[in-house]
Amino acid sequence: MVKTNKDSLVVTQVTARVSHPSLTVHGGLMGSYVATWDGRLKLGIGPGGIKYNVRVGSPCFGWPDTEYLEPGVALKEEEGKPAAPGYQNPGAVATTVQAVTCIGNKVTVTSGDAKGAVGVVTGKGRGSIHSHFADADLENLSIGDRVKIRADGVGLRVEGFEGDVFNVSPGFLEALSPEVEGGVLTLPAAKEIPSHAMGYGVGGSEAQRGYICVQSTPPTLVEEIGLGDLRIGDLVALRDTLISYGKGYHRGAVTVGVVVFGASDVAGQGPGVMAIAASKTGMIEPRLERGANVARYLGLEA
Amino acid sequence: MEIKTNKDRLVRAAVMGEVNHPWANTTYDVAYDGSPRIGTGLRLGMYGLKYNVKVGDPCGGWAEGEHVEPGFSITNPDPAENNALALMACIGNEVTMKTGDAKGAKGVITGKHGSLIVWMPDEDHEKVTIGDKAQVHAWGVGLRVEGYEDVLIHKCSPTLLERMGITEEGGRLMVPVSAEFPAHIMGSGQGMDPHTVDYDIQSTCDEEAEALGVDKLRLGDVVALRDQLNLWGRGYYKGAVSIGVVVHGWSHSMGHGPGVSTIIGAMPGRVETRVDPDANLVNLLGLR
Repeated sequence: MVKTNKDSLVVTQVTARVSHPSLTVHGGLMGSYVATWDGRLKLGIGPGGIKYNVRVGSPCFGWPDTEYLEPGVALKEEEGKPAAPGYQNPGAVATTVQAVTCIGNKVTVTSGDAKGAVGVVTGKGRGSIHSHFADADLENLSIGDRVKIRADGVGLRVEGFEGDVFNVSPGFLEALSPEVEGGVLTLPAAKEIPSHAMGYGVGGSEAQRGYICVQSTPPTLVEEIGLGDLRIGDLVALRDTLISYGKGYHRGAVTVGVVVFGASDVAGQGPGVMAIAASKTGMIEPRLERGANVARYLGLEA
Repeated sequence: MEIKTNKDRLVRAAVMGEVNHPWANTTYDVAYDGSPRIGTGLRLGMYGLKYNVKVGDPCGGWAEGEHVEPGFSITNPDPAENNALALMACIGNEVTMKTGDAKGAKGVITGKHGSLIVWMPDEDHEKVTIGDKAQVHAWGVGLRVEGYEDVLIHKCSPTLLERMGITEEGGRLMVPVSAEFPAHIMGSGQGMDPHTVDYDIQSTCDEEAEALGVDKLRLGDVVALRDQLNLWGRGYYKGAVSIGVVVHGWSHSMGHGPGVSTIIGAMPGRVETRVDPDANLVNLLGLR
């Protein structure tokens, strides 16, 4: 087990609400569709809202007419002014909620029929925070219900490791049984993914927000990198990819991240990976375990 | 064998843009190495009008430069009209100034980034004022090569396509390019739409950029992207070759770099390349 600075972290509160689902669309007049990589049209449900039967640990593939399928309860905070006129940033408050919320943080419902119910953050997706609640609480939750999040994890460092750790609570990090030896951090990962499969999200924002898509088309690529049994919540190691002050290719770098949503049929898109640790110099050693999934480490396995 | 196209069946139409102004929303932005950079916060060289950066110039080496666009850049302030400008204007289309001191001057579209990018002869370029209206003779949407209807051509005027020196050899279009790049170096813009936006050859891993020759690229270079498919979207496809034009310069934002407007997308076996160091818009469109 590693030593961390967990006792020095500021633990704070942020708020959000249960979001409404949205469609992924490319179309215009007839346009509730996306265009797939091979020139077909499909519906793309998946972002936002409450999913009654898709949870962290569910498969990424095999859900019909979905794009960016987010598990459990997707939380958003849309209050606050945009960062700048004409610049498509979320509001300042929304940016803060995204930046400080970490996997493993406690979520408490503060309004509505499920008031008092407690869930846990399982990832961060397309402008949303993903949370898991017990089935009984899911039935009571309504879109628009407000929640508070106990944000704990910003500033977390691992003694002896010179790379970055982010987007994880101290408790979640400990559940991963990390080890440090000779400056190398060992973390579990279900799969390793090469840089040529990195798609949408390369060039995106800092590690605390956003994701890189692992391209889930064409089928030959899925087969080549063995992606077919990927699950939402899987930990994966990205080779030659650095997510820290942005997202991109870096020879020899290793980033470990969490798969936060499902597969896509749009060219260059696919399951999103949110980083939890990165080393520009390759000082992360993935410990390959097929069961390396957020659901296991948070004790949420079905 | 020379190629034949359907250029006589394409709709020719006018779309309008305005020379836009540089903008900034922060003082600094974070560079790939964790350093604060004013030029990155400001996107120095992106948008607006540059007096000393032209198509044919190097992509890199501009002090604090960030996504530097050569010549001047136009957008339409109405979002829906701007979408039409973005979709309809093609590289090689003629541009005519409609207002201001440069009224009547003619130029050429040389790329599409956020803005459409325009080249104009020096004496006219000096007269252009931010806010001037520039009308584009849009011609190119729907362009296809006879016998190659499965090969999609985006953002490319018949003028440019005909001057690229493309020949037909053994059921393939043979395209002269100045350089080629592998899939793993393609960055920001992956997963996005080839009809409206470019994507970047990443310049933010120093040793890889040098190894692949990213540092030698010039604005206006015609390049090939290996194992990249640009049809209805863009992404990895083993064996596919995409052809594009370098439209903007170097970046210090992680995962960004010189931008490529993709103009030809095809499944494997339909496009091949041969290296020609002169494959640059300066030569192909006579931009002197």
